[in-house]
Amino acid sequence: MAAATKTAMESTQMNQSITPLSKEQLYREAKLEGLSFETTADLAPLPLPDIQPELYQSRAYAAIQVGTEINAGGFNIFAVGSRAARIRQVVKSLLEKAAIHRPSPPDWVYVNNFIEPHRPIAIALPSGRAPAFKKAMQELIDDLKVSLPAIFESEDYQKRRGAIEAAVRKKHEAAFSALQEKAASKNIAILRTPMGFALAPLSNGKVVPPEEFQTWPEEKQQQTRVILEELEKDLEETLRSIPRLEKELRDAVRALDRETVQFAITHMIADIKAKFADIPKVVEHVERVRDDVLANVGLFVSPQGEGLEVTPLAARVGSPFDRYNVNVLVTQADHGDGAPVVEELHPTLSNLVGRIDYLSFQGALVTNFLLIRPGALHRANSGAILMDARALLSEPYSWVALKRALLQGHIAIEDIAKFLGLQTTLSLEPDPVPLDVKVVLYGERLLYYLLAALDPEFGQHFKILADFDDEIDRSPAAEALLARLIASIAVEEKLKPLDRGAVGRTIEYAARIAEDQKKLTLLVENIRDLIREADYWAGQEKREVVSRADVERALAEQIRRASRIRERSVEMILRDVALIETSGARVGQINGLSVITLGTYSFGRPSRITCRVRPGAGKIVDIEREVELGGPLHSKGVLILSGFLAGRYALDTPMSLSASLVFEQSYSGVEGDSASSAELYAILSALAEVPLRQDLAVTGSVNQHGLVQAIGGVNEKIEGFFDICKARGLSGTQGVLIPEYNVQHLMLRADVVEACAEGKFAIYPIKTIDEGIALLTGLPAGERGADGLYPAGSINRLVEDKLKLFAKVRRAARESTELGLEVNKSDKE
Amino acid sequence: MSGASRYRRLVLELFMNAADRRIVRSAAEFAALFGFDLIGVFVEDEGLLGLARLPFARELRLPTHQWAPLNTEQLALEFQHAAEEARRELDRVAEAFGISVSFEKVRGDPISTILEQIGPSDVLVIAQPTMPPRHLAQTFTRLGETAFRSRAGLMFLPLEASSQKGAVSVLIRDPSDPNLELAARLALALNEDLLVLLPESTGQVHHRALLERLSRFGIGAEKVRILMLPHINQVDLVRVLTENTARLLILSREMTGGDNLALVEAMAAFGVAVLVVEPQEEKP
Repeated sequence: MAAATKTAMESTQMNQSITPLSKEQLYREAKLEGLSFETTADLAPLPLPDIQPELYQSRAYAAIQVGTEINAGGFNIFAVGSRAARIRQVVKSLLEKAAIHRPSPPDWVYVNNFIEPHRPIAIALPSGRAPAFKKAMQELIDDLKVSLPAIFESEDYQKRRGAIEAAVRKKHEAAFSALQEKAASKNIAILRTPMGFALAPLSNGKVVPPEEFQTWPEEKQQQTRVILEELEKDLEETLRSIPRLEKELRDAVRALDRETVQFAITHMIADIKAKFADIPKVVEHVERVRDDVLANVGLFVSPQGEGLEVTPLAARVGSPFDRYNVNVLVTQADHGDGAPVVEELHPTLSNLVGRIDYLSFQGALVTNFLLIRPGALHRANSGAILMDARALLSEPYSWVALKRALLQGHIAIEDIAKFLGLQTTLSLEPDPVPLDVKVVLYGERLLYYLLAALDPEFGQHFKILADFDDEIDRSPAAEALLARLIASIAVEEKLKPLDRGAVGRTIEYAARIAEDQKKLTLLVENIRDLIREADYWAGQEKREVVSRADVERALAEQIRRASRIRERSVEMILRDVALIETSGARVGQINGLSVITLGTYSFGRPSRITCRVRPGAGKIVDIEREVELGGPLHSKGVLILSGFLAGRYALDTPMSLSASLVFEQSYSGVEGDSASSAELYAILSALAEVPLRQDLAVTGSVNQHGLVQAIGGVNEKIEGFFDICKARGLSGTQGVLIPEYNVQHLMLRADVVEACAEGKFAIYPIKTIDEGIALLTGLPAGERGADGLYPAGSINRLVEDKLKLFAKVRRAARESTELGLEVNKSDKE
Repeated sequence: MSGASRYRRLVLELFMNAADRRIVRSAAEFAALFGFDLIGVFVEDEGLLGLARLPFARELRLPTHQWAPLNTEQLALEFQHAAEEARRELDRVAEAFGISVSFEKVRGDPISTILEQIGPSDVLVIAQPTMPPRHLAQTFTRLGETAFRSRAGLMFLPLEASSQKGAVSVLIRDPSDPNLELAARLALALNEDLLVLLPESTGQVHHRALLERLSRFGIGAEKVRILMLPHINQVDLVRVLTENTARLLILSREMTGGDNLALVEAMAAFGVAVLVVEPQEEKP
């Protein structure tokens, strides 16, 4: 048996071979090999935000290239990645590059619809020609405003008009005179009454007083009455002729005006038509303008458009000549060559598809075609539009409107108030503008996945995914690239140049953000913030060049500003309010490590995990889960422990363990499985009744086979425990057990690295639970020998023996219970 | 007191004219320009009142063109309403133009009664109604004819003012014409040029003497234009006045070539207001 079983001593020797990590393994310095410079001023800046995406974001770059080049419906792009990675800028830069080679899109204008004013007409003009059209129309109207009054004031016109009026007046007067004469010849006067006219018999040129009339013979009176009746009919007829004569006058004057104006404007209209002869719709509109001017000459010769034949309320907004104006919705006149790339930062419905403004006029809201405002889709038409997906989804109706526009292939201006039935004012129904645009959304990956899962139309409209990496592989070339990026930021932000040390420290910071010695972050915004602050501290120190010390200071200050909670947490531990031991050994008790994230700042914190065991039904009670403080991943980790115990120990007996696990003094949720190895150590310690070292802390998840697996936040966790130990005084035995797979992620704080280098602290890379338990207990884990047993005195042997004992106890208890039941049964019988 | 300053009041008949606000406003505007009071006289036609007492009397009411019996009570009430409305309109223009107005209601024959109201310091407004039905009674025509035959000061309002601004013109027989002073003072008050028109038949006129006389009224030579007219007729006058953008012509009846009402009415028809005043030398 002794031969078959490895001795505990042998195992101990094996475990003791786990050596702490070296200084080089704890932190990878930036070498900046092959990059010769004193300060960033010596480096060629890298144009921002272009960080050569074709090299370092090749997947996203290729996606965007495909997306921009495939000119088919639905091939719009959704770029996903971290906000701080400046994907917005990168995507925009790529789109602008692609847009240069695309044809410049047409201009769009809205003009008045003279037949249906509520349906303004949209006209497309070749790129950049809309302003010229507007100017031509304005000049036409300005010319008409000057020339027409002059023509109408001219002697020739006045003569002709005077002749017309005189002719009609003559007809009036002839009619009146005839009546007057007829009346006078019969001694009758036509009198004006307050309300109309009356006929009165005359005597000696004066109205006959009633008293005198009564004295007239009956026959004369009767005769007078007959005459009056006859004249009344004539009077009636004469007055009825007035409107007809007035209309005759109006028609004659209108005809004269039309004839006069037609002559005057013919050449002006011809000039405009010649200028835009290649655009039939413009020519048609100019002809409609000519017809309208002819029909509304009074507009030009009467103040405030009195001559307008039909003056709808909307036409009274602004100048009466606005009806001939041109609303340039979008023009490329001020843009360079190529298609537009428009970024809409505030994609409300109206900012997206345009809007119709209203003016308050005599208590009513009125509008006209000049108050149609373009949306981002109009401006981006035939080019690309870039929007933040979150912002788009946050705006009511914008997402729906965008999809509708893409589906229908045109932009219809939709009024949100009308949508909701909040506005019943007569509004416009402008011609929709055909849409041909590449929509590019950017946002977090979660948004993309949610949309893909929840919106059945999403895939139809966004067929291209451009997935941006948050980090790049760390290599000398990548470090050099980042150094140039740092130089660019310094130039762009007008900062002091950074010396070699500062650049190196910034690159190391980039690796720390990536949580990986072999990666560098692409979260440029974080780097930019750090450099800005380092520049500030260099200024405080009266330095002209930013040094490594300034970057360190900036980092320290960033942490200091955010670390009030962390300091309170450390203080609670140091004052033994939160119980964490950093020396000695305890059975069933271990220091786990967790990461707390508050805003953008994360820090590690040790937590005491304890375990109690007794015979039971093979269940590990996760107290966190029972009280619903444990998240699903944490629960999963605990359940894996059952699998490990069941698979490794007491293979011939049922699992008769009841264990309870708890994060002591934890009053909020626990999530993640990074404490599962610590929990397993606690269980093993409790079962073996062997104390665990309290000067060590543990992190790492474990699988059912006892392999310790990588976890996140390894740097913060180590630093969290280090801070407690350092505050209490480093004993030289303290340290942290981390999964071996996490060694490559270590970018530890300088003071931690220094302590490790001096042998005051240690980081142990752990591959298996056996390695960890040996280190924590000082006893070997033990390997099952040929006899099927673990070595005597090993942890595994002690655990297995305890489990067998629990099984025996449990069996005995069950038999006793069953016997008791039999006795009771017999008694009853 | 010279003839130039003896006019103080502009008299406007309101029964005929108040319904046409253009006339009332135009009269008020000139009253304000001249610094005159505007006197509104509403004449209730006694002939009409007498007619209303006849059992068969009736009127054609506008704009419905329906015949309705004419009775005294109803007519009195409508005269009262019309007078009140006329007064309100007068008050409105008084406020708008900042002029002093007064209102008087009298009963009698519309033409003789109004002429009886005209005193030596008064100018009677003659305005052609623009609304055709008003022509029918021809009261304004008869008033114009009758008034022109009298010696009363008359103001013929244009049908439509050709310009809101423009020179003050005066047609005088010679530099000693008292109307020259009236025109000069008005031009000065309005800060407008003065256009002095003289018939060539006057013979050679010494411009310097004319300008010196005008300078005594406070108007400088740079504000004066002097034109000699070969003939005093409608065509020449219209041409000269429109070419020089005159808005007001002052003349005496004598200068029309006799009692030529047609010439005056032609000026008004072309948008120039005409002030017909008879020079009256200061009494010793």
